[in-house]
Amino acid sequence: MIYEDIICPVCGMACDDIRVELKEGEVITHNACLMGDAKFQELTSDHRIIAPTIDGDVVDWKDAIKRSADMLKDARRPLIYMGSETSIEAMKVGIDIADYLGGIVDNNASMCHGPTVLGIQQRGVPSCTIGQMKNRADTVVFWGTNPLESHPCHESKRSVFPMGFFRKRGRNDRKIIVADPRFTNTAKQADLYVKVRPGYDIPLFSAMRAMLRGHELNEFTEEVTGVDVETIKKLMDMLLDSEFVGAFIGLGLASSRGKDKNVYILLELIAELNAYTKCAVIANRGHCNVAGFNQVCTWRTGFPYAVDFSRGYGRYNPGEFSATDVLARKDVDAMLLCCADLGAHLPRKAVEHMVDIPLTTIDVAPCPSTMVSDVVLPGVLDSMENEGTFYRLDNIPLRARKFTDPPFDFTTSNEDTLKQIFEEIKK
Amino acid sequence: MEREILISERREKRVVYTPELCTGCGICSQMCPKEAISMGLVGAVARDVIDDLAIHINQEECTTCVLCSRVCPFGALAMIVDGKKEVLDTYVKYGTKETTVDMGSCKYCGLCAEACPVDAISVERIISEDGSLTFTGKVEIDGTKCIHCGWCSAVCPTKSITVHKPFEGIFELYIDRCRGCGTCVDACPGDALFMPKGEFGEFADIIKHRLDACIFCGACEIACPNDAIKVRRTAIADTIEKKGALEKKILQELEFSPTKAIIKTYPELCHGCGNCAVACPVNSLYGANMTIEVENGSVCVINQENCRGCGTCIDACPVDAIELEGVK
Repeated sequence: MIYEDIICPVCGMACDDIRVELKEGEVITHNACLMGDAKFQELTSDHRIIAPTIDGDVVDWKDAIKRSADMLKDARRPLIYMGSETSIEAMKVGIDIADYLGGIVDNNASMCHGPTVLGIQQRGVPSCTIGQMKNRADTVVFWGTNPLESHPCHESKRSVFPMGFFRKRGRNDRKIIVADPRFTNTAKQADLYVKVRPGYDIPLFSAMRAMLRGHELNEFTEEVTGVDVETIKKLMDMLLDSEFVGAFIGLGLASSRGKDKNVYILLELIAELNAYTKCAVIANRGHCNVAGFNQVCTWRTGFPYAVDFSRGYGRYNPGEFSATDVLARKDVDAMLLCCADLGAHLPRKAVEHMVDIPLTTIDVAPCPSTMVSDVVLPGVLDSMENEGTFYRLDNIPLRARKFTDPPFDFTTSNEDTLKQIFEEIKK
Repeated sequence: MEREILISERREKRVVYTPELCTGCGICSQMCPKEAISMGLVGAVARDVIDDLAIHINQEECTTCVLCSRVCPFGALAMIVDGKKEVLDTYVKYGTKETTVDMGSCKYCGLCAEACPVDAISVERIISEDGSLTFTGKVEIDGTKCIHCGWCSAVCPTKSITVHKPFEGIFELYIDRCRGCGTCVDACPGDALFMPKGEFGEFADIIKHRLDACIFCGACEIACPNDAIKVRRTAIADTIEKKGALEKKILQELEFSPTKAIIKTYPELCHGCGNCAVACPVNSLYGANMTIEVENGSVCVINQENCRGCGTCIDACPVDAIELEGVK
């Protein structure tokens, strides 16, 4: 059986043109990259978690739900961590649980593009959809991002190679600028590569703004930014000669020195560039529905991530209420982890606290997080085994259809699992 | 240093091929009575993405008849007799009147050298020592390189340069088949084809043709993977002696035996980004009848026979997971 136009639930691209062929226990994917294909292969993998466990022993589903609910109910300040590889419907239930219990809710955004969100909150963002980028941008900038590794289909489907309405010649109609301290695979394809000194993006953006305002740059520019004046001039000429500049920013900005201020200054620069040409910016969000969490959390609580309900109302303070910090400070005494493997990615100190507190994990495959969990609930593969809504990296919602059923009947989706836990909590 | 490849040898005669001068126009293939010359992957060679030649010659079939050398407008195929290159008016290359400069009116501005697409012109400029505010100097045109495209003559402000073209002809572009891959632009020796940037805020033409710079060699037609270009030669310059024999063959519609392009993929290197599949001009023309696709996370060739060897996929691949091979 062949299913067309399936949404890939892996990276922020949320590719919506995947063709999946299911035949006799085999999954054949078309148009999905290596990462996407690996996720679709989970449908038939032999390590799929198909039964709930408590302390490693297979138990009845209802017992596992009850135990999860009890652990959260008994806690003074639980952390509900909603990973990004699930639908916004599930995320909404997770946020409601945190609200009901007076806990903390967070998501991958806090350790990924959280600083970008902060920068955007400070400055406002001139943005557009990635489709507009495809149709209009004649200069594409990748700043601190390497989409060929992080979003493999980015260039082929949206930014560099596709034929756009005003860019009928695909790659031949676009100039590519890559700014990165490393000469990445994306940089190999660039028309201009800017080798930024790691952590010195702010001085470089400031130098670009100075040049835009007609100031001469002196010899110290290269010493500070690592980029010679000639290259900065070439970069500015390319930007100003463009009809539409599409800038994609990555964790190179959000996770290097300066963090949200890097993004703030970049947005200032882009606002100034818009006096001369059109320039829009999109953050290359890494996880599939991480943008979705920011949307849902904002319309449920008023804040995009790292929200604490311990005082009965939502408080937002990344660094204080973000998952890594509350775990490392031992500020939470129970945790519900859904569709994210924090055990493999958080700092050791935070993971040590995860081991110490009662932890429920909802996941499709064994991982470091399930190994340190008290209760493990089988996850459902969103956009494959249940329908749901995903937000692409440009904050566009896409409705994902299901094309197969989960290998168990006690839950139909992660949303359903969370609802069952919520019902049990309310009892 | 130009490479020279010995094609055939018969008694005192030798045919020698210089790849650097060859554009893959296919006139030799059209002319060869023994059908000993087949076209290589002209597009990929022009893009410099494969290490191959634009023409493949079956040396066993070659009778050293000289026709290919006579008809080659670029002098890429040369006849050597008794160790000396034959330079006769019966050859298209040498029978076409040489590009000349009227030194009396030349101002040594150097525009011709700047415009020449094959770097055949060198201009030496010295300030006059006769008291006038003028230049004097030297203009040299390398006849071996000159392709008679007419750029120098067109840009010369004093109209001091005379260019004679080897062929007259018709160029047709079927824009609905064009996908803007730019292979023809790379293949064109005379910068006659280009991708215009267009006016600010307006649609740009996908490809444009400068008729005055075209020498109707047909390299673009052979390189185009989507058959979007048709070139027909309608006449050969009168100065070429004994041109009757050539006219019979090369004024006809271009027919040549193309080399089959085999796409070799390295799935272990591939990220499955799909750049190749999206960039492939044949894929986008034929829709469902895909040439190359991403399957199970890595590149996969679906219809090998669709491939025309333009090399766009190799250019697009960031991890060197694709190679092309020409097979007869």
